[in-house]
Amino acid sequence: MKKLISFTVNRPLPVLLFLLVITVIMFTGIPKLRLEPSSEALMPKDSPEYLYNMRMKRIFGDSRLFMLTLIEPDNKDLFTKESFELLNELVEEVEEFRVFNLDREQKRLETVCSLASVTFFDPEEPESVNKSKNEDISDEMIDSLLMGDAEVSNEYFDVFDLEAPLPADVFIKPIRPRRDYQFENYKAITRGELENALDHASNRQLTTVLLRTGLNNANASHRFSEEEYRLIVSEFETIFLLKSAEAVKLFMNPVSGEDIVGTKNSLTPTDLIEEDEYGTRKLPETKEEFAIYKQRLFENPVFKNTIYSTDKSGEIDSLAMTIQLQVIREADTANKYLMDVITKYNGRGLKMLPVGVPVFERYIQDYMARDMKLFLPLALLVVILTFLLNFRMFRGVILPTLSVILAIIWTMGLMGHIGIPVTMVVNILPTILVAVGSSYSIHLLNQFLHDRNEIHGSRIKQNLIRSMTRISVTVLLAALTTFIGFSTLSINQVVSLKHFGIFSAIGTVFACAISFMLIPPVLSLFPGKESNKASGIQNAYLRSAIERGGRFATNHAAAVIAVSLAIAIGGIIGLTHINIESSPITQFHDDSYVVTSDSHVSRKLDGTVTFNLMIDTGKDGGVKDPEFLKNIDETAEWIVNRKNRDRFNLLASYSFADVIKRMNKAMNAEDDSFYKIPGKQSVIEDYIMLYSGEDRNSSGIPDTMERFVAPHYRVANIIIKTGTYNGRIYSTKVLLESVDNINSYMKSRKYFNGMQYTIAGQAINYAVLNRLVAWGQVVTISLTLIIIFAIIFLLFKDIRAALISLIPISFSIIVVYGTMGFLDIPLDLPKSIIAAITIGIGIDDTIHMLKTIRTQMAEGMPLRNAILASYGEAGMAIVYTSIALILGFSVLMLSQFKVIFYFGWLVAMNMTATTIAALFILPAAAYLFKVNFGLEKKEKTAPDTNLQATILTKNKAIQRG
Amino acid sequence: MKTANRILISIAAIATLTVSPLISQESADAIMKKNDGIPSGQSFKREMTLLVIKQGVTEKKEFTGFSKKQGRSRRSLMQFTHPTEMGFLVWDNPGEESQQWIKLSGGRVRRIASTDKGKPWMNSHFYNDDVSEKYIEDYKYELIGGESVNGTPCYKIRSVKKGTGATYSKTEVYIGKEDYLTYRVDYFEGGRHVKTLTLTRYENILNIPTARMLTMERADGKGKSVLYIKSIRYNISIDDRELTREALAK
Repeated sequence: MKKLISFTVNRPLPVLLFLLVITVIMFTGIPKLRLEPSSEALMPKDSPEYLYNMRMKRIFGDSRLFMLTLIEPDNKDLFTKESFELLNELVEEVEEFRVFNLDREQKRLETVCSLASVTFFDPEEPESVNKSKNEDISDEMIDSLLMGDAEVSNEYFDVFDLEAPLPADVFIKPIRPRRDYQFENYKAITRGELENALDHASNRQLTTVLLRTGLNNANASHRFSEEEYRLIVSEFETIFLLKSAEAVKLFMNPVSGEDIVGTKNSLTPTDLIEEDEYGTRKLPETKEEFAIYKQRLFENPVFKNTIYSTDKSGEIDSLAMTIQLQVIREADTANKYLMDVITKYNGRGLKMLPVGVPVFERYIQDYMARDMKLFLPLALLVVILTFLLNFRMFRGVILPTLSVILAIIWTMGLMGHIGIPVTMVVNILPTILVAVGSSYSIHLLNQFLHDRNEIHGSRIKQNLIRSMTRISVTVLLAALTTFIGFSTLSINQVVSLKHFGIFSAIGTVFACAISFMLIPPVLSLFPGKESNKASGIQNAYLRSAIERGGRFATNHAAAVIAVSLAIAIGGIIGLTHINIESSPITQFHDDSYVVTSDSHVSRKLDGTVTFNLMIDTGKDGGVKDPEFLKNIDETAEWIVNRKNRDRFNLLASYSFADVIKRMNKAMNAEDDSFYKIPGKQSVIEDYIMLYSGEDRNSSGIPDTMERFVAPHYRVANIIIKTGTYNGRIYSTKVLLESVDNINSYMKSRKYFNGMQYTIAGQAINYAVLNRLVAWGQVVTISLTLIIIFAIIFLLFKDIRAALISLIPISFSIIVVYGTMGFLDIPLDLPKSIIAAITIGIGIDDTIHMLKTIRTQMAEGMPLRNAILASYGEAGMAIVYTSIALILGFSVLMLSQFKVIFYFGWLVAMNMTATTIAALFILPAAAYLFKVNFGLEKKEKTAPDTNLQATILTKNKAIQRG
Repeated sequence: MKTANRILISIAAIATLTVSPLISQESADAIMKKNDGIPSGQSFKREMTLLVIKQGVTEKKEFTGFSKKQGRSRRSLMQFTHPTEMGFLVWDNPGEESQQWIKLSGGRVRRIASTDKGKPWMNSHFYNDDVSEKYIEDYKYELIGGESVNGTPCYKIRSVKKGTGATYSKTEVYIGKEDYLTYRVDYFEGGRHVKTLTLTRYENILNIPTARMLTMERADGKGKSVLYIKSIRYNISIDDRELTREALAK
């Protein structure tokens, strides 16, 4: 270590240049960072639940792509001409994303551009982007099949075979690449001019664009600057590309939504509100027309709580719509845009409440971005203030701050270069690095200030090297233990915790290395002047208070230990009450939009989150078997029976049986008695053939049925909806119990014997995370404690020292987790890293204290005096670094997320507990158990007269205060 | 117009004509008139295979087709023999909307609603509308260029249906410059190219140019349907009663 410090002190400029180069390289990685709000990013990629869900998504669609919106009247009657006109506007705007009209969109885009003299170049082969070569079957094979030389042999993707390779994601692509628009000849135009040039539908789109670009308050005479118009054109281009990929796959709504209508001769999907010959919707206007419209809704039982919801008297009091996106790479962008379109219609007589996984993820992403912007500057400010308080000198502030900033740039930049996504847990990494990284600089600078007058002799560099080397072991040890604490998280199965563990450990190494590469070279270049001021940390009151506490701890060691033990026992009792929770809803504050809307919409529409029960009939066409359909119908009904509703929040279920029942009723003059599965398979096959629903993706299954049945009609899917029920959230614990319950039912139902089935989905992902969090917690804590014990033992060669070193961290973990149990604060993903942080950071105080006591004892001081003497040297540093840590972590309490608020609060509480334990419980235990740090033999065998004199001197000094 | 609009009905009823070389000056209407004038036979019976390929799943269907022309009207019947026993009946008259019926496997006959003309025919990439006769006077044509299709120089003609209720916003038809046969049709919905029909393996049967293979492929490459004529007999005697709803229901 000395060699390294010598190098940095003797060659400061090359070292600083090296730091600069690495920082620039790492900085280029930061723009590559990507916020990832999905639960999938957290899942271990080899867990069966994850694998089943991935397979299920390929066949039945991704629940992440579903957005549900409750439509309520805003102090008005919902069934008025005005409300439906507004609703129709919204539906038409969304419909443009479902059915792409190239001519219309091209004209719209060209108008926006030509009006302001914006030019562009079209790619040479516009449609080649979207063309995906159908390589499933060769021309030779087609010939063989046509000539009868070969039989059709379709390969079946076995969703239940987890070893089978997953089919690649088939992303629907836009019809052309993104254009590069040229603004050289830009001619500024006003909003009014733009509006006049666009037709009604284009103006509708323009209002959304202006809302998204923050230009919605511009009046008609507002002349767009080039920068503003670039934003507008960019948005129009994005919308064009999304529409060209027909981003919306399914759009169930009360206006253009389809019902199955049967006549004597046909069975067709028909719009709930018909269009005239010019394509204009004939919206209901009179009471009578609305009555007919409502009757139409009532005729399809599936519409209840999907298209409409009723009050207690059975009257429709709200409507609803569901949007399902295509599998497109830009799904997040499309979701955001569509959410903006929907919410744009708020406050105009209608109240829109979008919910679902896309809404969760949108909020998570927005909140993460806001947190990121808030945490870092605030944490830095807090730490700067701590530095200022600590050192009261310019370098004392600038150097540690700079070293922390560099550590963050290096760590986050590295993540960006490697492509590690920023999840909610990873998002707090910069704040943690600020808190953790600052302590190494504090130690180095504190030592420099301590030795300042000594350094400013004739051989400045040599003295600086000596001073820095002296503190290096403490710093390295602190970094090592923190590194170990964080590293143990990397064995976690939850991917984001693993990432957090790896990169917080790397960040710790960076912070430590940067401190050594920055502070000694700068001090070598600018050593400053000698000072008559007291060096290092000074605060007489604080010092006096700590020392008084120390005396109390040693004078009443047994009592201190007894009280601590009692508190710990209380903590253990609380710990047994702790709940593990991974439900996304618990991440948000109770008064947030996500929680309040989810609760309300869940009540009105029977849940907001789905998962799936997938059943393999074992044969092609098996789903069309009436017996099978009757069985899945009964199963779907059982799932949402009163008991399951009350116990497990299972609120709604849908299956292919519902589609067939609806068809049967439609084909039998809407007679309610025919809302059942027909007895003959041939009738079911006829219905399917007759139902000429769109198959826009050429899957072989009509788009509206794809959620329920797989190609070949072999595998069926029951969609199960859950959500907040009677004020009780769909906790992951309840979800796991409901999965067990459904599995037991399936086992007990003889018909399904021999059939494969599984339960998976987004909601199940959350539940699985619970198990992983619990497992990770136990392993992380055990492993870290064992490693820390080993390190301390190696350091002091004393088993008692190693044992008592675990007291402060164990004490604080028990107290904090016990508090969580008593206050019903659940253990979740972010909180599961608290233990590792506590051990990794908290052990620094313990080591610092024990090492100082040992040093005093090595100089010949008796244990009690050594303990008391240590307060002056180590106690103050411990208090100051702890203050920096506590305040740094407290910044997290300003988070938009409830879980991060509690995380910040609990870590701050943990740091406080660790500090108190290190300062008072640890010395009390050391004194009570007569820990001598392996120095006993030496003291007994080698009494030294000089040493005796030192003890006397130090004792007198201590007695003087 | 004997282009894709005759996919199933007048599939190969196209005569070989010796064409004058004055092609460069011809108008779109003249070209289409020559295309329309190619004989297609008064009646025919054929055995056909339909392959439907959708995202890796291939379905093979076999059927027998009968068709008879009376003046400018045409009636056609397709009876599926494998794997289903469904059937399809089409009645086309000039100036009227095509009438279509489907026989379900249970034997019931249902009429195809006019709103379903743009829906898939027998779960394939052809639409119900594609299997009906098209009349030249119902469309506006515009010559928009020339292009080769599999080495055959062709006129490229844009065709747009007059009035309302078109299944496609437009089609682009490739007519051979030498023989006036249809080689390819691009279909557009809302201005976007959605499907392409290619007619290949032309043979002269009783001097009627017959494309034995018709391939309808999605423009995005995600699936196609192939129709293949295994055998065909032109100008045979077909009783009118064989082309009725009753015959379909048999």
